[in-house]
Amino acid sequence: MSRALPRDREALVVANKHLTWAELRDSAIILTKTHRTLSRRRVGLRFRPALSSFALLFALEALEADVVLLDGRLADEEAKELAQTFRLAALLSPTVDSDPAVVGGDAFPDEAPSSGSASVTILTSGTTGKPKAAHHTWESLSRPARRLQNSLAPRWMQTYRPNLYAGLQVLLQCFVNYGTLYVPQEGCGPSEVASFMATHRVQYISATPSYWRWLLLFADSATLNSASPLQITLGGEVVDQSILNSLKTRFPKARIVHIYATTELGRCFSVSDVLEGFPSKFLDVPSPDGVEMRIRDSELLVRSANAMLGYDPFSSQTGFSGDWISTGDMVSVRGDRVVFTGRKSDIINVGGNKVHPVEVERVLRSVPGVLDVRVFGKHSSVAGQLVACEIVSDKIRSDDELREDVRRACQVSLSSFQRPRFIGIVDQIELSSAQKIVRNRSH
Amino acid sequence: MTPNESTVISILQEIVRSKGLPAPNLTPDTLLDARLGLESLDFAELVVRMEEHTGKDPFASEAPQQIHTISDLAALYEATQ
Repeated sequence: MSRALPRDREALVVANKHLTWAELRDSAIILTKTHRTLSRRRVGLRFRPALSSFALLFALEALEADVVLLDGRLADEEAKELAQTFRLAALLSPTVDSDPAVVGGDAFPDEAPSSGSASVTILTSGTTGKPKAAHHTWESLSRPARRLQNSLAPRWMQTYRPNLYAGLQVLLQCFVNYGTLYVPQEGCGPSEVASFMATHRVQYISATPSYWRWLLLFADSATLNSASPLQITLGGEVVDQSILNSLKTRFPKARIVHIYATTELGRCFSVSDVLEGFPSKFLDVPSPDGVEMRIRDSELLVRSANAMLGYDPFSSQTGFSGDWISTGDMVSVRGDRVVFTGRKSDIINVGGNKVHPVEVERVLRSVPGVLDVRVFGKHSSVAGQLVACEIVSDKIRSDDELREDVRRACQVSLSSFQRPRFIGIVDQIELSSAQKIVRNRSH
Repeated sequence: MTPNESTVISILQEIVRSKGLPAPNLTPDTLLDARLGLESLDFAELVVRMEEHTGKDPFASEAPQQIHTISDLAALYEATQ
């Protein structure tokens, strides 16, 4: 950070607690001293939504520690198990109501040697079994952050968990410009989030399409309309035309940006023409960022300069060559556009026929009365899997009538094996901890 | 009619109705075949729904037995697991 620190400007607003840039720096300095014995050692950080979590992150960077980021909601037992699996020297646990310069923790006896390069390990949510652990450096994480030309302080709202790649990107993008990061109270409802956005006149908000759908559906309209962000970013899941259109309608003045990134590959590209997918010309030439993309067997492959260094040596995953990586994202070329059709692992296999949940969801979303939907596979001993869905209804039609409407639409637009045979009506679509639709059988 | 035969019949009627076909007249002796307008996935759906009702899936571990009528199918659910 080469520009002068704006001492009195808010750096962080976490629920109703504030910290200026001077206070954040001072807290980080105190924590650096308190935890100086952790310099260049492997340290876990349970990233709870506390001011001290952020100060500690800076302290650990200054100490050149190998930081392993853990979800702040993990139970003590689980966190300790991970500390042992990852052979940490210490596990630090910020608490929400305490002094931003005070963080306690536990030491562990079986620490592994440091990487020698002040790494940051991100545990990905993963869909089954053990999480994967991606090894980044501060350099690889900060590469995509853009410095603003002017000296205006950007006001960002954080919707992602800060221990995940997207959350770190928001943090770094905000802080590299000495902006202010606004973090809403954990677990608060959509109207409270909208209220928080409007009260703090948040300018930049990044969230998954599912989070945006949740906000648009359930937040108080008037409050949401009074928030006028400059820029809305979406990523982490398939961004379809329907959510882009909804956001454009609701926030006509905002710039809408779709960012495609993965924990392993980092940020790959961004598109701001409010059209789903990306221009097929992105496939031909490496981007100025050093990201190359191609398609093989309908799957997107990427080679990225923003990529992680590899998997953490103590994670269950191995083998990352930094070369072309299969993203697990399926795509389809339509003219001069490449469109995402969903995750390979979400594909439902109905008696040997492949079904992409995202494509079925497109059809279901077009049915009047369907506010939101989740399509997933249901186990069948006879067919392997059958297509099932959950729908949020606007309650204008009765549940049975809506099911009939949905069946009729599917009859017209989908092949027999694609049609959902189980239609549940729910109050809300369940999302994972990374705010993504859960489609796997094992949810 | 056994309770399982009755359950199979009501589920089948639902499935046929939801395909936009007229509700068929079903008895335990009705043959489970194409004349009912059923295809293999409809049968798969029937089995999943029967499992939801009875907690049993006779097709889980073994290849499907010879089933001709509704009664034959219902009988699979009589056997204790």
